[in-house]
Amino acid sequence: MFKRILQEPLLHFLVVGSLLFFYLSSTDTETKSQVTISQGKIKQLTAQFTKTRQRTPSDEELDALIENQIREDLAFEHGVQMGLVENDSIIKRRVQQKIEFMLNDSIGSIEPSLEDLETYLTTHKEQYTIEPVYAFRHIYINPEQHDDVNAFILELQSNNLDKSYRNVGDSMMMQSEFVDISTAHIARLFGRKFSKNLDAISLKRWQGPVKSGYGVHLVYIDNKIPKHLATLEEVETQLRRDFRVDAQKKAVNSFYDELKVQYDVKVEEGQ
Amino acid sequence: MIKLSMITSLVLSTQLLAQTDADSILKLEHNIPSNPLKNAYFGETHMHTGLSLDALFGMTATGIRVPDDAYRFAKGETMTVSGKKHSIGRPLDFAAVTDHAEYIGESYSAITPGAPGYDSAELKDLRNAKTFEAQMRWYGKFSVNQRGKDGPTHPSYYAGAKTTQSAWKMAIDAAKEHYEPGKFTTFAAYEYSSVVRGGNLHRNILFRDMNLPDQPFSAIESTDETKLWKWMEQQEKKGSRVLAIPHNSNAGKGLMFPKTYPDGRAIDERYLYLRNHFERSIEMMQVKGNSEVIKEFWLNDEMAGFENASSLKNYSERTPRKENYVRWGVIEGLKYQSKYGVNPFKLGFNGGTDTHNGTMGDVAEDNFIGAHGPADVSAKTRREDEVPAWLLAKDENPGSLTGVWAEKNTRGAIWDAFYNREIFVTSGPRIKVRLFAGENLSKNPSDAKQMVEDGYTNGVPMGETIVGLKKAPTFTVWAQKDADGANLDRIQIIKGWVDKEGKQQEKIINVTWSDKRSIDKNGKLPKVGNTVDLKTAKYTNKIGSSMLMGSFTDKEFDVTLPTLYYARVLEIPTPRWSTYDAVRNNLPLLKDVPAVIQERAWSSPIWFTPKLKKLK
Repeated sequence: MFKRILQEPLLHFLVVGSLLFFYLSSTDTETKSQVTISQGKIKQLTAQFTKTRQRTPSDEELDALIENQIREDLAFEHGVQMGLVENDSIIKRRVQQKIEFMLNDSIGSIEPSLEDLETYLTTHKEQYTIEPVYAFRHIYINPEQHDDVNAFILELQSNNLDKSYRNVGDSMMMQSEFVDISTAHIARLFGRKFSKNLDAISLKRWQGPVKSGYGVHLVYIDNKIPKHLATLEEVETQLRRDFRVDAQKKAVNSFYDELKVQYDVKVEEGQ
Repeated sequence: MIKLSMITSLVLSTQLLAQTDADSILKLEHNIPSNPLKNAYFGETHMHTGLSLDALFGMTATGIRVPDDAYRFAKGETMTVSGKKHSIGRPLDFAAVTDHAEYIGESYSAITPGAPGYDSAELKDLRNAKTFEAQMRWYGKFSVNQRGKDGPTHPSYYAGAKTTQSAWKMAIDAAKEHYEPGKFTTFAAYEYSSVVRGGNLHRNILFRDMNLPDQPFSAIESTDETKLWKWMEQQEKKGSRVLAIPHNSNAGKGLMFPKTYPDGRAIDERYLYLRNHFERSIEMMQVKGNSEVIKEFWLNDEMAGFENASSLKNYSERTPRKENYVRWGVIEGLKYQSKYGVNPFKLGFNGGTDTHNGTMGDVAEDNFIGAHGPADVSAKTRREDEVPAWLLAKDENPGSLTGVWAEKNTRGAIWDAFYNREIFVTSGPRIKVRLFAGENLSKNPSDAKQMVEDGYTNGVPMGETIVGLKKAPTFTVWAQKDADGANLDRIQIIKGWVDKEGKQQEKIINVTWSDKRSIDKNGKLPKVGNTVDLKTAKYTNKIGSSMLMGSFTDKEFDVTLPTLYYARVLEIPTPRWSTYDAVRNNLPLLKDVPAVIQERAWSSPIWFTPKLKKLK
């Protein structure tokens, strides 16, 4: 459990955040506010200039850039003290986006354990249903090649199809038997109508004609795993992805919940 | 100290994770059963998301913003597109998101709150441009960078290579995340979007594995495609395998199959080698038109005139010319084969959509809801408006799909099929087509499986070359309709060669067809008929065949001339998307676009080369 807590990125984020807060507030001992243009900032200004103008700035230009930056910082500091930020929803929204961006970035690395996934699956089981999976054999009949399709089917059915199914029927570029084939895969090979029709017929006897995109088939279903709720093995990749998306949402929510505890949030009542 | 060790262990464990990931994927790939006779898989390799700056408006309209969304859509998830629930209906087998490499960094900044550059005034304006007019104004300003005299440049708000790399990583991560060997294949890919003298010389770049560069090579680095190939050569030296897939030759202004380098020098062996090595197929058809042939220059091809997007010529001075079309290009390539022993235009045929809505592989005519964000988002705009700088929206089509013949659905197997050109393209329906050639193939096949076994044993499949044939080759062809779609009308073989005078020649042969029709006294095959009810936009499969199979032996084959053949499969007539649109919205049919179309599939060619003479 303790290990889990240590791995919680949200926790890291909060801890680092409060450390920063304490650090910043403890250094802020002087009464006079400071505006510092760091060497890093100067380098950045120079680089930006170079990129847009395709040359390095002259000394005068660099001085102007620095002066601009000083003014921007001063104006901002002063504006904050005047309470201008308070009512500016654009600035507020921007800060919020930055915080959520950092938060999301730290959550990106979550690697759920198998237990996590198991729990997740249990609580969301309805979202993960598996359509029927079959083992079946079939005989293809191409209506274009028979003057009387029904007569041909009757003739086929009078044989012992269990033995002859591989050698009767019409030519098709398709296997005559399938094991472990999903409903989606059947639809891909035979058309969506066929996969639907298959679900309605009973097991362990030759049945048909069943319509497909190519004609009709006599079908023998050897085995069928009916529609069911998925197991972890069946949907692990998808679960992993959904878990992360969900974790991201939850983290944002609990981040705000946490903040709501740290702050006294009041919504004033209307009259 | 504690912090440091924590970070180190974190880094180590991520590396370990990545390693086990790679191992388990190899194992998964290995365990998928192979079919030596190969299966057909359908997918697409040309699609934009919000990481393409020109698609961003589309994204605000559709809600599909990033590669992850596009892969979900391709896998069949229902997404909200332009405010409505929309789904591809049936999943693709493989897909590659290909955002324009030129401005992926800027796009990343634009859509990622907190990312460097997000706050720039221009990207703010972009996000705030809500009306179509405002968006076009923004785009007008941006295109100054796009269409610089010396090629595209980064705008002032580009926040540096880091953003490009973050965007590229986003594309790679999505590809990794969605790869399910045996079920759904993804690729690391992007679009290199070079425009030279107004000609569209774009290429999609497709990597075989996850051994990848830090960032893609874009037209900002160079608009000269030979520089791109040289970069690809460097990637190969680092162990990558990578392909470039050109497209939209119909907008290439005669530069897609050139006689010279971009700087005007005549092309030489180096060019021939590079192009032949890296460009193994061409995207035949997409939203902005089918580039096989056009009626103006192919009067004798009665199936020409299919989704050619004729209003392309009204924009950007795109005068129609024969040299812009794929059939001309591949036959022209034979001349180089004779002269240099290398064919630079030895191209298989693949498909793609090029939709800028993030709706991967959304090619069904009865489900088309536009492809260019707000420009064609409603039935009204699709009927009346234009896709700026390109064409009239009513001239668009939903795009095409690639079919590949591969032993299994894995990244390696699908990529190799592209490399070997054992691929085909369909105008949307999942039609399957096989083509084999050889001196000793059995004629008049009656069993599809036997035909394929015979083809692989005694001949070659589509995409291959036969050198030094001594007698007439036989071709065997087979096609199967889309399981959920319309029946087939006919299979044709298109023969192209260069005669002794060095002139291009071609011939179209109807090989096999439905409904027991006979060739008439003019040598024409009568039309298959038409079941489309224009009032309801419905058709029936009462005509046509669900499967066609046959053979053709070319008695006119000249062993001394380089020659190629490809198959073309036609469906029976079905409603065009504009007809479905009209019926759905209770509007009259459009007068100047066809109400019905014959959808089709094209196989990659098979090439014949006379026995090599000593080169000069």
